[in-house]
Amino acid sequence: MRPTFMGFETAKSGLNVSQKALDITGNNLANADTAGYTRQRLDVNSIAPSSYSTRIAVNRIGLTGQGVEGLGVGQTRDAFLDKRFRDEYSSASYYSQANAILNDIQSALGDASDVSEGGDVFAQAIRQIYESLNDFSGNPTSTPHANLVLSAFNNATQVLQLLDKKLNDVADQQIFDLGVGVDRVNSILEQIAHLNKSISNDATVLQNPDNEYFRPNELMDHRNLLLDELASYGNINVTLNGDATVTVKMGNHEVVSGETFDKINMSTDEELGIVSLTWNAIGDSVQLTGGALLGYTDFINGRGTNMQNPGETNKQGILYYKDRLNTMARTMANLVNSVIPEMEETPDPNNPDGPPILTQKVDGNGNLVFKELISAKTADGTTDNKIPVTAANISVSDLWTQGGADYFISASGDKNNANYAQQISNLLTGQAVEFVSYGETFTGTFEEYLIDYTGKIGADASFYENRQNVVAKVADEYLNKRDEISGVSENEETVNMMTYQKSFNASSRLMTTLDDLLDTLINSTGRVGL
Amino acid sequence: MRVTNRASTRNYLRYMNNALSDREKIQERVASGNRFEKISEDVSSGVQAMKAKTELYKTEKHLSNVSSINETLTAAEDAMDTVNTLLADINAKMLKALNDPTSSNRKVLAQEIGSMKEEILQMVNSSYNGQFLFSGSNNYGAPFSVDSTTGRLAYNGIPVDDIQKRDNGTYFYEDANGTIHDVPLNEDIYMDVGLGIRMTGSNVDPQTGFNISYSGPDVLGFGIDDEGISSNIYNLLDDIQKAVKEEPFDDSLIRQYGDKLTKMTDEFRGNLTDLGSKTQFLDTMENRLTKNANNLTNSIARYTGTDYIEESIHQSTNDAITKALYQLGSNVIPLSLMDFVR
Repeated sequence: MRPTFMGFETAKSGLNVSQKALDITGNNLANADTAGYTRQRLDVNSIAPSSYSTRIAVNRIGLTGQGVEGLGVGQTRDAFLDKRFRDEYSSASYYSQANAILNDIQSALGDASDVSEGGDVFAQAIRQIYESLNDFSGNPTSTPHANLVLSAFNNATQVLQLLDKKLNDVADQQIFDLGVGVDRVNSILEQIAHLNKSISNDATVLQNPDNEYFRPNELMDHRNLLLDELASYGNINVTLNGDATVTVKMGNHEVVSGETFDKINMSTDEELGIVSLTWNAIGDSVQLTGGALLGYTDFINGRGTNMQNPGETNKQGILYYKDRLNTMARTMANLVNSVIPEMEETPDPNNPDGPPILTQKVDGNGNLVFKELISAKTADGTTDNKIPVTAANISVSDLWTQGGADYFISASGDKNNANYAQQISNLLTGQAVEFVSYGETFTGTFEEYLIDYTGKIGADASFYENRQNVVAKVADEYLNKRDEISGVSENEETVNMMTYQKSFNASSRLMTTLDDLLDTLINSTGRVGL
Repeated sequence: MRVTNRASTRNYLRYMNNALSDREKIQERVASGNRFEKISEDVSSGVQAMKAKTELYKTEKHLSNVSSINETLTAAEDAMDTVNTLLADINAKMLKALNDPTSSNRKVLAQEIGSMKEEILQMVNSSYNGQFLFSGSNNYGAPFSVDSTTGRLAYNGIPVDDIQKRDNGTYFYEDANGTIHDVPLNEDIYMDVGLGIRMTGSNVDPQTGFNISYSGPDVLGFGIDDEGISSNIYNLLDDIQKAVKEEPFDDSLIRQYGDKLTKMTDEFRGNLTDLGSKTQFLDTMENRLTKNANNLTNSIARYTGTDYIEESIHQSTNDAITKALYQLGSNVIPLSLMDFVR
């Protein structure tokens, strides 16, 4: 038996649901361009008449047609696309960070950042040395020419110091940036844990436990946005739990679980120039396979084949390029300091009473002594030949600076200086010599070494830029695919709007029809023939 | 496929940015004249340009070396030319002395020979651009000096009559104790004129450098011959001067000296011709180096320079693309159903 007023409820449910659906349509249109917004929809179903609550079995037909009910507001989102996008985004961020650091290194090295005439910083210094030595060898007893050689070497050592300082500046800047990145990651992890709490305590979740469809959509969007950002710092793995919280693994370490979260500690070894990231909870080092954090650590700690200390990576990063600069400085000092013999006066063995003769000095170990032209500058501003020469401390020796031209040209007996100058020039620009870093050697002239060095940073920067472009395209593709699913389409919402409007109209119409029916039933029944 | 506004606008902005950054790059290339700035933009061209630039500055230095050597050589040639003329004159004076051996005439001739001798000394002590022309590697002072007591010539302080030559071309002398010394400050000085300097220790392979030092003994002669006559032009002239005014006049001694002088003059002319051929060699080098420098400048331009024709085509293409994108941009948000419902 159909209850008399049942139809009104049906019509009312239609009106309600249509109105709610219009609300959601409006919400979608309003948020069409909101960052991270996922398209929402009202899920409805037809109300099922229940028969088992009656004491006796009845025919259900009388109770059918009770209308529509809204189950909840869900999101249209594809977890698979989220994962693929985040994976690619991690890779893209890694390459982008690598490229940024390599570009900074390239900019620091003038020879690489400006291939045109203006940028030849060290090439120009070598050229100046070559020219001054050549001029001097044509005028081997001329003081002004000898002084020009001194200033050419002064210039070259200063250029090396400057390049070293610039590479240090790059390292400092990148380490600072990494610190900012680490802070951001820590704050994201904390926010995700807080959102986990808010989401799992939301009424929609509490009322629909284990229902993955109806959730606090806005909070979910916010959390997804944070997860996307987190993916740019490191490769993550996200698992959605039944209570609507997410468990996040970064690398293989669980960083967020429910309301608890871990954080990253960063420490810097000032002396070695190495940065290390560790997990606060367990103290293990952070192991990632993608993301900007890996980009930072790979290239700040990157020492190529010259790896010496734990924490260094085999990427050709800041440490690698500093190493090669040091090799250049050390080799230069070694070469230049092994040419001009240091002479001393000794009595003539054949004629002990006669004038002393000049012979090359011999040190306590029986090694021949040469004039020390290049040396290492110490903190007090003097030079010391016992300290290993690096790009940071390379300097013209005090002996040469104070002795001036005389140190360079005199006291080498009557053997002429032109040949020594020619020899230095030849060693630096003409002859292949061996450059030994820790793990790698290079054989060639100084200029070939410089070209190799410059070419290498160019090739590295270009490789990572290309990788970045390729991977970023893939990430963009996934972003587009995700928008295909989750983005708001104006056409679709207009169609929805019209559908719900018609449905609302129809429900209203039903109400009128029912009213007419009741009118007939109540006012006209039993009045046959009147 | 669902098309959403968010994806459309995002992609559109990306296209637009790409087109505008391309445009920026084209403008920079055209304005700067360089095809690229950072080596990472074109590693292989960049590396080749760096190599070529290294070659170029060296070639330029070789060129300037060649021209400065050439200038010095010309000055040396002039000085030697003068000496040559003087030697011919002296020969004539000697003949005159033989033909007219009156005492007063010989005195005048001896006087004249004496002043010509001094003139020769000045010539070989002359310098060009602050460099002595015939001083070996010595540039501290004039290479030749005359001992005030004996009147004999010394080179870098060593009496030329004591100087001897080894087979390898170096000069030495024996001191009073019989010890052998090298003649000081008389090393060869080599300059790089682009023959690809090769060195063993501090010694330049003479085949690969250009010797710019002219040793005094080479020019004026050194030592004493088997007959006890000085093989140095100045000392010989000193002997001739004495012999010409000597009483009684020794005819045969003058003839002996005359023969010796003729022989030495021939040797001297040989040196002069040698100098001439060196100048010619340098001219050839100069031509070759200039060509090399031009070639290198061209290849650097090819490696790093802007190809203006190519850029103008790029620019037109980019113009068309940008225009199309602007047009597209004006309706990147397409009309939707929304615009048609009442």
